[in-house]
Amino acid sequence: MTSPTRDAPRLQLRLAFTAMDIVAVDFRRLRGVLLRGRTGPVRDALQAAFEMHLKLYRVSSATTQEQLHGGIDTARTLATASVVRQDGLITRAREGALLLASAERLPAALIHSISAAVDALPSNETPGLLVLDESLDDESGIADTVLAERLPLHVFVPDVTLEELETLLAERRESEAVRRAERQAVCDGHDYPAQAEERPDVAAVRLEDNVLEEMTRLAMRLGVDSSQALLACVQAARAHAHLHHRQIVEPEDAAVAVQLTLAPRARFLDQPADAEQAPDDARDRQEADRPEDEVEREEPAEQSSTDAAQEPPEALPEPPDPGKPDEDDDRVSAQELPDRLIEAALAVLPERLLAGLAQAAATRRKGEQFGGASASGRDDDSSVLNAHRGRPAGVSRPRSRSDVHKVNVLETLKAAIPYQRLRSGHDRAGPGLFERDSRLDPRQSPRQPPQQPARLEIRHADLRVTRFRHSPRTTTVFVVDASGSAAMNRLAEAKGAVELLLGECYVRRDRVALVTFRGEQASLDLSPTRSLTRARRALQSLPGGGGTPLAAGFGLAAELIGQLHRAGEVPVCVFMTDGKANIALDGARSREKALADADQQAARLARSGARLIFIDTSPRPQAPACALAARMQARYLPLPRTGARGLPDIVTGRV
Amino acid sequence: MSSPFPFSAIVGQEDMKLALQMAAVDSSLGGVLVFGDRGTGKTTAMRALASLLPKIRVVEGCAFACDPEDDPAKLCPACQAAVAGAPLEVTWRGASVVDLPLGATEDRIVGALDIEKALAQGIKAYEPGLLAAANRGFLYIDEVNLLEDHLVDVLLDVSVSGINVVERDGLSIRHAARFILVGSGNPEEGELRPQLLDRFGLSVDVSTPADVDQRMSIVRLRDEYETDAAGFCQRYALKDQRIRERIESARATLADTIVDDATLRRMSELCLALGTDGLRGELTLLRACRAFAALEGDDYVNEVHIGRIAAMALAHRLRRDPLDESGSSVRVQRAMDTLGLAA
Repeated sequence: MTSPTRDAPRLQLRLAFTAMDIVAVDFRRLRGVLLRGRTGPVRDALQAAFEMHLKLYRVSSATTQEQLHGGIDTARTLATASVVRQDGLITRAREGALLLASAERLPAALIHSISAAVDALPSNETPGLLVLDESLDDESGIADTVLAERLPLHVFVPDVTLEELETLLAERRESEAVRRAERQAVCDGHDYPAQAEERPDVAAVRLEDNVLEEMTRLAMRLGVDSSQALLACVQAARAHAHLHHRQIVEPEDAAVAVQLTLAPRARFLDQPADAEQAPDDARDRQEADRPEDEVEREEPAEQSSTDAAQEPPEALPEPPDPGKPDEDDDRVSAQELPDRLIEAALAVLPERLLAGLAQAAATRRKGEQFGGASASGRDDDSSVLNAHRGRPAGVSRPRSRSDVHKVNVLETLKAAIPYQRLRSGHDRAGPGLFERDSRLDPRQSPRQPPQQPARLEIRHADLRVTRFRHSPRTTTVFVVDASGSAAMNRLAEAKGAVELLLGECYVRRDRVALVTFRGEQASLDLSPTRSLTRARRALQSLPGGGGTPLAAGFGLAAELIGQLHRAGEVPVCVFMTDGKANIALDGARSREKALADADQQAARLARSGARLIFIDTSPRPQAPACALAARMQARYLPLPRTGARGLPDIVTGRV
Repeated sequence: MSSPFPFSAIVGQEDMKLALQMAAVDSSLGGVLVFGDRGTGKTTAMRALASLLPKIRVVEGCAFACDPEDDPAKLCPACQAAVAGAPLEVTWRGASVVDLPLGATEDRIVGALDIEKALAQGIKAYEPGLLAAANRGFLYIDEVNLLEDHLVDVLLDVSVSGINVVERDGLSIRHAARFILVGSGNPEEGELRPQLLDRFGLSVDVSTPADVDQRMSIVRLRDEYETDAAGFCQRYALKDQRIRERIESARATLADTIVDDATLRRMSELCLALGTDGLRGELTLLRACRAFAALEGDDYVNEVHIGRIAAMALAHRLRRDPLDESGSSVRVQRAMDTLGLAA
């Protein structure tokens, strides 16, 4: 069977550039683009294509709210003693676009205030947005945030060779030259960004009801709930039709629009049973891994929609290459349209994503994604003081120039007052005594006529800025051994202990994650979340039995810890196992190999630098477990002696 | 500023629309909490509400939107000073709907020393924050469940007392901050602190309609609006006007809407059966039913009203244990069934 994704990179490349053209056609409505993928020549070329139409204004994680929204330029205000305002980036980018590079690392506050601004402004004053998301596959990027919701077009940066890129760019240059010449002939003297104004009839492109209906159905099949995404799809289809000088949205316009708006947002895929192998397999595998009742209880809504949409199984015998919609086939019957759209959607999804969709259906809803993840602290690592936000925690002298934006006026005045007599005696004492930092002296000339009412003299050394204290968020990862030996011993007790800890984490507003290992592998049963209900449910339905792939559990924990570290959080990891490994990392049933692997992974955990707690769940303390705990430099606690009640205090570090 | 999407053009989401209207009728109701996924029209509804609300009478140029008919002692200091001299200048304007962005600083919310004046003129002046701007209007917090804790504390304080007390930067100011709190969020992304949850009078769940036709008409309308906002709003102006009149007349008749003892007893029975904490649940249920009856133009609150409103007013108060399952609307429904209340 020909893989629909074999041509995908080239297809995606073309599509990505089409997206940029669409932005140019209707840049009032479609000026938000999410570009997902690693940096490189392809992304640069796409960015350049975007920049041809809209000037970019860079927003970085160091951008302050003042810089974003505008405000008083404190430094210059102090210097001139009259208020100097500066326009914020949002205002300045009115005719252009904000560039959010490495958006997955941007502080949540920034993301939220940008999306709030986009909401509040009338559409002709909203800046465009080019959001670059470099998050890896396994990381929750920006895709689920409020901001992504407001970006009409989502584009993947494909992996293509430089040659393929060059070919396409050359092609584009050529057609651009042709178009330019044509336009030049029609009307003189308009430059490129004015294209939308030249032909103000994008909105006049007609959209038939059946096309809209199919788009809507597809959105539902892909689990795209947002009406905004659907609206973006409609507008993109129009813009694409307009780009090709059509007065009505044709199926191929709809197909491209679907690829740019709905497909990238897909959360799951309701597939006609035998049409597509890959996603179904992945889904089956996923579900097989999960206890059945859990699947059903977790996603009642999705399950039911699966059932509901199961009936239109016009089996696609061979997914044809959907990337090159037939130009001459302009009358597509209503029957073919749905197929065409779903093919389009499938074609654009990278294979790994396609395979992961079933899983995504399970985890996306469940797991707390970036939006939730970053309510507190993503910009500030473990440095608690000097955060830009949080509770005020005293004042100090500014440490850098950018600090000046948080001047605490009262404290500054207090610091300056004792010196006023000295300073007003300037003339007599002669200059130089306090002159070192006179840049910020509000009085430009120190030699004022004495009859002028004295003004405060404030020097740089007097400046005080407010400090904030902000606690970085803690995420507690529970790694629970659900193997046969553990189940026999005290899985129930371990569950009880975890539940106690969960309650504690709730009080402290920590997040929790749950990793379990049994049989042959470890699985992330609950990605970091603050939702207690989910955590408890995941725990309750945890089955027991099977081998003890200790190394796999340790390995997954180490990976999760790494991810959390990268997100600027403080991970705490609690292991609950009896340490009796009998499945090696490669699945081999060898006790020696399993122990060696576990030992190796334990060493890796020790290097991770996270706080680790090893709770031995065996009936009485065991030497191997103790040794493992020592290897990972974890705190070792035999469950019998502590008793579950004492656990919360130990984990939260109070003991 | 272009006109927002008309309230009457919002398809579906009847609960949310009703709850917002009720909150507008009776400001003592305690606000609305809207739970649901993104893209379900929460923000749209809020923006629409702003232009829908009846105009209020305010003192000209007052940063706190003082009511000129108010008891002079309740006015802000500036207005108090002014009222002593001459009658206050009065103007009418729409009630404000203020956004509280998640990234807002405490300074921005409660107000702070006016740096501009402090630096340029050496005057200690207060620069009102978002709470002042929201006085007598709505304060809208999108993703309220992700709001940072120290900001939640501030909001809790103010929303209970209706007064914003500023004691900072050498300022000592108190001003009225009576606003209707509207929060929205997705519970899957983090739970709301129980204290804040309880503060909201009504809670509604919104979800994307599972019906193709409805979704299509949402997109159609939205698309028409984006193409020609002015014309679109014009077409819905009359419908919006009707809703506005309904709210106005409900406000006028609210005080005369009667809740007799038997009906009140039914409410108490319901709350008792559900085991809601304290009396806040009953009080809210009472007020909400009255506001609903007033909106419907009924003189008496009856059991039908209770049936319609109970889930909104009570469902979010049942969660006592953080580990408790959260299907609380179902529990309310069940309790009503046992008590023989029609839904």
